Amino acid sequence: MEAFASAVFFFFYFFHEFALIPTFIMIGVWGGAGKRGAAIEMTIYLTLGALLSLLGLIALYVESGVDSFSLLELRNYLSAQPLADTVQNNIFALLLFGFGILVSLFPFHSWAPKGYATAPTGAAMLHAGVLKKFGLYGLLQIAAPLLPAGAAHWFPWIVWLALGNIIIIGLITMAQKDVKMMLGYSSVMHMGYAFLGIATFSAVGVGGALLMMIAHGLSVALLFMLSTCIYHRSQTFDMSAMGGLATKAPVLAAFFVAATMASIGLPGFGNFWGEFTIFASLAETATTKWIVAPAALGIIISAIYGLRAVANIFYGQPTEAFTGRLKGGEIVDLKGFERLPASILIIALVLVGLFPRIFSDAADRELTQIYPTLSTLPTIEVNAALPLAVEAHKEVTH
Amino acid sequence: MNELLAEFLRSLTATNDWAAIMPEIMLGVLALGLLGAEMVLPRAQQGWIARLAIWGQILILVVAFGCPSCCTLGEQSYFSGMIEQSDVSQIMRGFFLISSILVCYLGKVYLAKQALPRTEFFHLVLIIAAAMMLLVQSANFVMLFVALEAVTVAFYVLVAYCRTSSFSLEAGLKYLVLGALSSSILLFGIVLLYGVAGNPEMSFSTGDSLNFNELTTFILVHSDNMIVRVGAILVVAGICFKIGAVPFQIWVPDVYQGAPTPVTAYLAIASKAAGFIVLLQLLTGPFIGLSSFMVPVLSFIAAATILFGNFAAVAQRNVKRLMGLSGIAHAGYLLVGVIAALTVPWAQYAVIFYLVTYLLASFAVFGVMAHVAGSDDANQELEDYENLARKRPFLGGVLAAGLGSLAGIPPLGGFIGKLFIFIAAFQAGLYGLLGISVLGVVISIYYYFGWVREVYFSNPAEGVAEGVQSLCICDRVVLGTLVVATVVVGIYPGVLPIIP
Repeated sequence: MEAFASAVFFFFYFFHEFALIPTFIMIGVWGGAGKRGAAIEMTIYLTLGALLSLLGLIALYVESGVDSFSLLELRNYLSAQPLADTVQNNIFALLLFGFGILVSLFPFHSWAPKGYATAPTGAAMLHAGVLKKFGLYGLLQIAAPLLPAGAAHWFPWIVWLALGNIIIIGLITMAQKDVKMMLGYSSVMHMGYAFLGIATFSAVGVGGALLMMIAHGLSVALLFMLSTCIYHRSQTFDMSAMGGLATKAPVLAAFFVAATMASIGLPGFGNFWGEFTIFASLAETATTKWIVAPAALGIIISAIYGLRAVANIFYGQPTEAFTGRLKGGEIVDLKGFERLPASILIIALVLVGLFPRIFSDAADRELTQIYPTLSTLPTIEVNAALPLAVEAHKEVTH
Repeated sequence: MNELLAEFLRSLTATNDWAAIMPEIMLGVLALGLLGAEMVLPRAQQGWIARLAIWGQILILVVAFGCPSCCTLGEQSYFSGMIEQSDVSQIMRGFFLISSILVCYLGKVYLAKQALPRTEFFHLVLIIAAAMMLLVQSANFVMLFVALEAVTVAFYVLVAYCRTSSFSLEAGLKYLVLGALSSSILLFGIVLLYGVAGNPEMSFSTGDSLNFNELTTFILVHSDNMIVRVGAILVVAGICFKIGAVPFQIWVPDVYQGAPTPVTAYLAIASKAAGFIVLLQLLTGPFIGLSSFMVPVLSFIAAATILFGNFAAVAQRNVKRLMGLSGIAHAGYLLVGVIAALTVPWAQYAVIFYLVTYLLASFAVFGVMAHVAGSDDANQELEDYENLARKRPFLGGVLAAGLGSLAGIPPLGGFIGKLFIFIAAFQAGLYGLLGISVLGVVISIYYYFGWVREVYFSNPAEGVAEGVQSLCICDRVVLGTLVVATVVVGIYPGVLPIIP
């Protein structure tokens, strides 16, 4: 976790990569079926992303001529004398696709669902919940503020690929039968919103992406944990082979429904504020207004697969084999040691949902400094919209 | 004639230049002492020979390089320009001494499982170490060639050391034939340069056309001369044989597989490092005038080396061949650093840093291999490592750390080594080579982590790795030190006083 605390971007990279061997061994030793292939595929993919972003960071270090890896020094220096446009474009491409692979940007996402489906619960919770956010953090802390012209150049790419995350991966998610595969794909899909937030390059949109990161980390960790609780009771991850679990495990059902609602973006949970602020900042400007409609389609898609999963697992007529298990009395409700982490996560989600200011105020303070003016973005005419956007943000968070 | 000899001897004894190569002399004395000790010691006490070799070298290391002032001396020339010492050569002398100590340790582990003569093994290892230490100090082509041949001839014997194994004999024969070929190519190149630079009809011709400094000026003036270019290319080709760069890499897998594991480690680490330092000294020294001509050639070689090494290693199941092929890939990354050193001066220290991290990680891996191998160590397959972590968790951990460092994963030293090379390459503007290096590193993840996978992922059906002996305390100390050093270098690179 040190990666998020480092102002020296060399260590930022260093500590993220630190997690690679432990993750590999965790998946390999405690993972489920297909772990041999999944572990190595994930490691190769993540190394590729990490190395591309490392090249980008080295390029930033060498090209800027600042003999320091300190993010603050670099930021001060580059805001005074920005790099040439072509240099910015090249470096931003390295950082965008390098970090993009780490955040499962479409079409570099294929490691994520398979990796999470085979990973042991703890590894999946940590990786999807926390480690994956590393790439987004790099984009919003390093790439976008330091290379504004590069960001403007790649803006259409980010938008289209993020929409690919939301729409195409969303449709793929709907087709999943395995609970963990579905959760893996849904976490890929929700990253699309975060990318859209960053693509606005405004304090509001990026702040929304930040809230999204936090809330999604909580909700996806909760869902991965609950899916393993379901597996312990049903002995299968196949949703079509279950049904009626709520009769025996009502508390589990309640938690799962709540977590699903949170991930869909129901008001009251943290995810709502993330998505809402991202949409609000997209709608602020003429260039990005059209994105709101396809992005909102994603909410419907996630409602469809989320609620269908709830219906298949917990309600309806159980399959014959499953009826036997239900009647056999082996299935018990959520136990104490399972309730505690689930409660912590859900309380945190509600807390962010009801008082987003505990995060958004601090984020706002920092982000308005990093994204003070947008005059360097000639292709996106958001300059005039900035005060409005900040106002909107204040309204939203109050 | 007698007068000449007397004059020669007088000039030798009149200088105190000998003090400059005291560590090499001490190594030679120790090597001879081992042969004497074998005659004196009774049969039951022969185990002392290995201990004598190891502790004697540690003593030499402490005596010769213990004081900090020894490591930071300026450029100094000895024996009328035959030998030149600089901070680079000082670091590398320590490097070779440390690697020969570790090879002696591996040899002790290896020979305990074999019915082979022992003393000669340690004797030859020490001779090679002394010769390599002289090699990196040489400032004259005669000195360079003599030292290089001393190394190579001793390696001919060591590679074929396991006389009972057909693999070892085959490897020895291949190494002999190709080594002799490469030496003759190198010699031919030297002769061409000697002839053209010594030709009195050429401008700036020199009386001592084997001396690096004299050659530097000559080649700077005549960088377009065809014979100079052919000579330089032949010299570089001869060295590329030693470092296993494409297209001179073909001997590597067979020789690495057949040679006894300690010898493989010695070839992979010290011999390659010696080749790189010589290449570095030649390219930044006498051949600096040919940079514009050398850079495209070397860039092509580096790219081909990285790609060949990595792609060939992917399908490999024999771990010794795997180490050989992945070593070719590492030679490619190092070549990128060497090319960068032509324009970015500090890049030569990045190369040395990489070599040090490579030494730490590779010896950890070879150490585990020496323990896991049975009496027939040429046939070590990846399957032999299944469940190693469960059976011998310590060896599993050491192997994971070593392979992780070779793959370049933080917080291990290999990452910092690669980082420095990448930064140097970026400053030199070698973007294409950087892209190929990144591709190579990503491919290497497959086979390095594939090996870790065999070690860690349980496979209940088969439980091999049964025959691995438990480790004694000194094994744990040596391997543990290597791993700790790898981690420390990775977290705090400043601990090595290499990058100025």
